[in-house]
Amino acid sequence: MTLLHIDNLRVGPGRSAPIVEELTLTVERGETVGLVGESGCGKSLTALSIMGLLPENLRVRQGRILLEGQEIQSLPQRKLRHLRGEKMGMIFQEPLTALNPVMTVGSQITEVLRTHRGLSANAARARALELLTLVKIPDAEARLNDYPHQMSGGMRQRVVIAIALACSPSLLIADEPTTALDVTVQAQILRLLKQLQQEENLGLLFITHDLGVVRQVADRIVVMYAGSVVEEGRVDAVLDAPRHPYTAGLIAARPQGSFAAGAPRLADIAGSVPAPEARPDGCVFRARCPRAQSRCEAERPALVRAPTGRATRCHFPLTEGVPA
Amino acid sequence: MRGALSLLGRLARHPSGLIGMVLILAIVAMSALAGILYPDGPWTMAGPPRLWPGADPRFPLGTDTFGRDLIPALFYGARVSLLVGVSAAGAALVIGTVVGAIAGYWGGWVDDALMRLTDAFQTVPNFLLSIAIVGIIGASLPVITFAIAIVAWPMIARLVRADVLRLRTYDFVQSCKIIGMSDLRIVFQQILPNCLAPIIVTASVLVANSIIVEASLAFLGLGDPNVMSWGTVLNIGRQELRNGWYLTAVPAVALVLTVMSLNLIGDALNDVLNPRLKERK
Repeated sequence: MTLLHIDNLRVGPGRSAPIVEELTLTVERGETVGLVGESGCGKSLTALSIMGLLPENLRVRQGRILLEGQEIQSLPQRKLRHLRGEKMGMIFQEPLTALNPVMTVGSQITEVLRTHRGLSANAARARALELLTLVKIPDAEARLNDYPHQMSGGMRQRVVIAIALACSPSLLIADEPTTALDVTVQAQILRLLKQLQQEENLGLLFITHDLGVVRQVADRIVVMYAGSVVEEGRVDAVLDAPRHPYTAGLIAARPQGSFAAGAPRLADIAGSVPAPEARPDGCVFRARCPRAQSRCEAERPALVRAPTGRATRCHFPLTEGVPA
Repeated sequence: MRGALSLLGRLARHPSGLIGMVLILAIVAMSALAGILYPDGPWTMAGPPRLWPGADPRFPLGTDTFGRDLIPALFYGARVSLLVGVSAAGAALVIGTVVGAIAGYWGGWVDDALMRLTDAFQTVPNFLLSIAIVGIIGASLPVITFAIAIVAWPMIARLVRADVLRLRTYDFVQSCKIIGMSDLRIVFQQILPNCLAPIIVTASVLVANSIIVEASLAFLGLGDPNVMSWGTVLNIGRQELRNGWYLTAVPAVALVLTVMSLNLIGDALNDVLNPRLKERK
């Protein structure tokens, strides 16, 4: 059974334009899916919808979210709460605010275990120690009594991962887990996540705006633009031969890693993501698209899915006809 | 417990914290020893009336209009002042914290309703409301405590609400929700400990303020007639202001020292509990 299946999701405030629409996404057990897009395209909102933690003014307006075949929006609060703790874990962007500053690291981990597993204080502590060792925190025993401010950013993020893993969830959502960390620490955390994911056979939904990170960790990539999926497929296939002009633009906008004086300037995609209420009719990307034609104005392209799993939402995709 | 002890230690190393703590300890000692040193109580007529301080070595601070010694009055008064001050501040703290935390965390119409209530209390002049409550229900220590607490909680409520509003957007709160913690547990166990520093600082000022209000009420004749408080002496002194000002001055000095020591402690707490200020020196 598919671990996470999001079907035609639409999220938004009551009356005005939806922020996320026509979002379809699956994550299998043991698979890493990279969810990519610019700021404001609805990545984090998708994560919050899955967790059932949408802010009060936003709601799932349409579509379904299924976790192991069970629809989660229709669940009563109690059940949802239970499901979240048991089956899902989340890793946040800012390890500083993701931990409670006035509680020791140990008590924050044991808290989860005692709430969900009903472990005794000693058993919970033993498991906490095990978890800290699992996320490779040196001298874990002593670190249990540390407060978050006594740890470095990388350490804190490891603790956040340990908390997310405490109840052995089957789905892990990581919302830009390495954005706040510096590059060397980022590499360590990514390696750790990848390793844990393989060991525990987790489904990992990895939200980021960094294509390099996606290439390192993900099996499949889902590119979002202005609230909906524009391209989807295996990581190497999409990154090597993007079909949607937006994906191509994102790839071209990556720094090429040269500090030489004559190095080419960064390419950019002109314009910015339109606000939800300002999304045009037709293709939402057309205003920034070098390939836009009159058809793009008239008609919103559908997400066309090839049997290979590759999907593109474009009337005039690049490299047409070449099998992925 | 260990945290509280280390806090006291850090306070003692802070100059104004040290002075404040010594003063307040002296006042606590006065109230504790009142019964032992002056078993006859503060009401006995021990000597000639209207004796000025220093006139008779038996009564270093003099006697009042009925010949009651002022020193036991100060000792017993310390009890009442501290009792009313601490319990009124405590009550205000509990009400204010609960209201502020609920309003800040739940937001929406709950927040609106609670904050309008808070506004309503803040638009009425505090002292007048206290006078009205004591005047209507009658002067007794519980009523006076209630009258002081009921006007003091809105300040705390606003303070706590602002802090909770900020903290509830932190990821660790989301994290707690993911774990499946109930909202009540998140607010009171996870978020509130983060707002403790400003609450503690305000608490010391609140105690000082409550002591002043109690004395002011007593000065106006709205004190509990069955207990000797500093305000009671002030009230006696009020009628003698022109020929016996010492009667007002003696309890006033006690009040000033108490309130000052609490404010000094408040300042010191602010420095000690605020990590950013610690580095500035």
